[in-house]
Amino acid sequence: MTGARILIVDDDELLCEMLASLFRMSGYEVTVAHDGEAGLTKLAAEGADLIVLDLVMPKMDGLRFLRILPERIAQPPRVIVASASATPEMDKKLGQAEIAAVVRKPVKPALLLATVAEALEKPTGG
Amino acid sequence: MAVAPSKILDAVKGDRDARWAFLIALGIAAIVALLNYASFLTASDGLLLDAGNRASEPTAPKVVVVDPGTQDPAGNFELLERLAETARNLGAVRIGLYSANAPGALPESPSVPLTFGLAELGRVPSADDRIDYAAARIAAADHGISRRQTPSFASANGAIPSFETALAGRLAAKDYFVRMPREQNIPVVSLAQVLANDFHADDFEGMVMIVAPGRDLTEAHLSTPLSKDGARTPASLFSAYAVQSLLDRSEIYAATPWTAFAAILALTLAVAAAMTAFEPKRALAPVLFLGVLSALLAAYLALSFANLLLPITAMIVAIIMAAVGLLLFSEVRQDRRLAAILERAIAMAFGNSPYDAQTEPGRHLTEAAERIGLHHSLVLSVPHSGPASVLGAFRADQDDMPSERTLRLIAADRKDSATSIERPTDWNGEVHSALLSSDDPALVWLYSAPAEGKAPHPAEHAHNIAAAIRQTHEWRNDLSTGARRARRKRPIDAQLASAASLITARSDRIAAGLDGLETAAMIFHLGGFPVHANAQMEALARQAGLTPHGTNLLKTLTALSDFSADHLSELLSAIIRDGVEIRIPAKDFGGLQRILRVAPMLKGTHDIIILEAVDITEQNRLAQQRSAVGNFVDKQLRNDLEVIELGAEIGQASAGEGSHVKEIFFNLSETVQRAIGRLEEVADFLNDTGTSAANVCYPLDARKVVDEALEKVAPFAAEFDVSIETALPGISGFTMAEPKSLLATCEAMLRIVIADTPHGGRVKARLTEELDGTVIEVSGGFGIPFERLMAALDSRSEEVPEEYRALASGFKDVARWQGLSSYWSAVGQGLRFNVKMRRIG
Repeated sequence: MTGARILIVDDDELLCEMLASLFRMSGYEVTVAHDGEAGLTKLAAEGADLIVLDLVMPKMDGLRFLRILPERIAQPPRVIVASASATPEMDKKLGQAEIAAVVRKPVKPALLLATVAEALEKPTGG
Repeated sequence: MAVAPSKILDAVKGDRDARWAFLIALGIAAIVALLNYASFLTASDGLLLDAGNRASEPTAPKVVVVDPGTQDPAGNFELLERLAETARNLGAVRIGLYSANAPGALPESPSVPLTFGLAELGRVPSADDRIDYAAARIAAADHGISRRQTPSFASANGAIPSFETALAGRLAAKDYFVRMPREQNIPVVSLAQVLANDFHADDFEGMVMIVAPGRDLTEAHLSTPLSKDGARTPASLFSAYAVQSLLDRSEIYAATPWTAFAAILALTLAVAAAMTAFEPKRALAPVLFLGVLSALLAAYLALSFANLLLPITAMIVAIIMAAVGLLLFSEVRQDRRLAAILERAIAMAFGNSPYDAQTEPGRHLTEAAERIGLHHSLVLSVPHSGPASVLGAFRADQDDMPSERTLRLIAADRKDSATSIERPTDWNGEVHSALLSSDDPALVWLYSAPAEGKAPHPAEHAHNIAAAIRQTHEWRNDLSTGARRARRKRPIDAQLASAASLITARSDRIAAGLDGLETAAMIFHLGGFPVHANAQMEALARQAGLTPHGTNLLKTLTALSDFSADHLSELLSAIIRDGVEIRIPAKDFGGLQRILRVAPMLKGTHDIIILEAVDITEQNRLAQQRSAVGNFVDKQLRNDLEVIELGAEIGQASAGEGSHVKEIFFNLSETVQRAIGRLEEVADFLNDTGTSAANVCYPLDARKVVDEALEKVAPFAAEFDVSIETALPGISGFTMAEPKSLLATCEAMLRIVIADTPHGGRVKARLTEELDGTVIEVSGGFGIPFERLMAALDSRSEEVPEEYRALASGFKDVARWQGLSSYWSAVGQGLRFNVKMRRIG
């Protein structure tokens, strides 16, 4: 599903740039936000087909972002959580959120791209 | 004071001192008995005899004394015959008459038997068995008092019975004491009355009639127990008492030497038993009192019922000698034991200690002089004869020594003042001198100190050091082996006082040293009772609700740890059995974490168990810091490396797409720069470890800290019926702080606001993480005037609630972490506290 729009929400600017390059090379359109609040704003303004979300962020962390997302956006896009904090304990917290996949950092480009492709092909849960 | 005989025997068998005590008692008994036998102690016996004698019970008179007036029946045949006839009619059984010699004309077969007491000793055979001759002689007086009579007297013609023996018709066994009761009735009648037959027929029934000497014989008058103040008892009356005694069989005999010895021995042994059974000094007075009382009672009973005169003086002397002698013996033994203790005390005080600073005063004082800030110092050895020498010098040399005369004065302790000592040319400040030891050689310290300065002044330090050394020297000299002969001349208690002072001074210094340790330590006897605790342990024990002096090992461990008494008891058994030490975690007291180390030191009679409470808060903090730094490195540096890795992989995958590759390598370069920057941050954290603990902060999870604070205040909030509304991030980044201090700060903020919130009210706690900072905000409550809040946070007074002091301290820590804190309050609008710290990563 090339041409799909991916929103990267991560406070690590360099990583954002790196992921954005990876996704653009694969034909995706990419927008970037560096905290949860900014991510929600961009999503509301520009929309996205998929969100690649970090968990540890200032202002609004990933968990809060996931909790608020369905409240702010009527049909939220799928979310791939990419975080070094994606531990089994965190998985339990994430269990209730509507997420497509969890990718633990370090992110392997091929795996991430495959996961993104897979997530974009799945129909949204609404 | 009653002591069972079996106990005495057991004591004698098992106790060397007791055996000696009884031997001493035996010796004293023998000595006193010999003195008594040699009549050294009998003078006062007579006095006691007289007292008892006079108090004796009287008996019915068996003797009547006839005063012949101007007549002399012994030399008048007719008168004698009439007297005998009348006496027979009156019932008399015998008549005794005094005569210079045997009368020439005597009635044949007189009506009653006649006994002539002859002044001249000479055996006179009697032609008639109703006429008898005896010796009218009184035994020599004892110390001026006639109280004794002899049953018979030796003469050239053999033993002649005494007048009294002959009249009583009973030969006494030996010399006897005449019983002379004060109340005894010895009738005295005149011859004229008898001859006139003025009496009833049986008035003299069964009585012996003694006719006093006639006109031609001057009758002797004696001092007797009844007339001790003068010779007022006629010899005939004394004889009458003697005859009465013999007829009553109440004459008194002196105890034989063996009886006397037995009586004395019995008493001295009893004294020995009492003095052995009880502490001699305490027993002395009761023993003397009861001993003397017993002796007097025994003497009285013997006199009254056995007609026996006990050597009462000797008995009392023996009691006193035995009691005092045994006390002295006990004192000597005690002194010997104390001397043995003293030897040990000496050894303990300085003999066996390798830590004896007295051995090199020159070196020690020279180093001390520099340490305490003296200008100059000179330690000198000044022999009683010969030149003085320098033992140690600080900014001084031999040329700075004062004159020989001055040194001698100081050494003789006749000059201790600095003012008159000639000042060495290059010395500045006030010059002082101190005599450290007056031995030979004497030890003298000359020093100079700044004239003025802030307290404590170097001169004060020097004075105190000198006083301590001199005192110690004096004590040591009292006890030193070299002065053993001199020691013998000094009372043992004075020597012990020196030893005790020396040991006490050493103990005080050791105790002060133990108090200075950071570790709380307590020493227990193997039996579990406390021996010593340093100040830190005493404070810790009090925090745990213990009284250090009234506790024991098990109780202390139970109070200081979370282990059960049963479990600890098993652990203690194991460490004593195996001689190993254990370490168990202590409860948290005063926010400090400790490990309890229990170590047995088994050395025979000095078995002890040491309990240490080692503060591991700092170690824990460092471990936590290491963990946090490690975590930071793991999370953040790993992140950077992962970005690099990702970039490298993307680079490989996009080979040929020039613009992307350029962009990716630019990002890689940026990431590498950032990774280096983070390594620098890590280096900063590690460097912080070596600085003051108070300033140390490191990356931590602020949410965890706030969670813990909320958990800690939850019961407090429940007590006030206050709910806490929280706004916390689901996951937290890295905040620069020190967790203990941040926890205490959060807890203090929460407690202050909760305490100010009405029942049913709500307190807000918010943790917000910004890009560059983490903010903790606590608000709520009714509010107090801002000035009051500010004053409470500024005050160091103990009266200010602990939470305000903790918060003030926490705010200072936040500033040290390069953070910010603020507070606000208004009556009716509530309180608000804000803490902002750096956020990194």
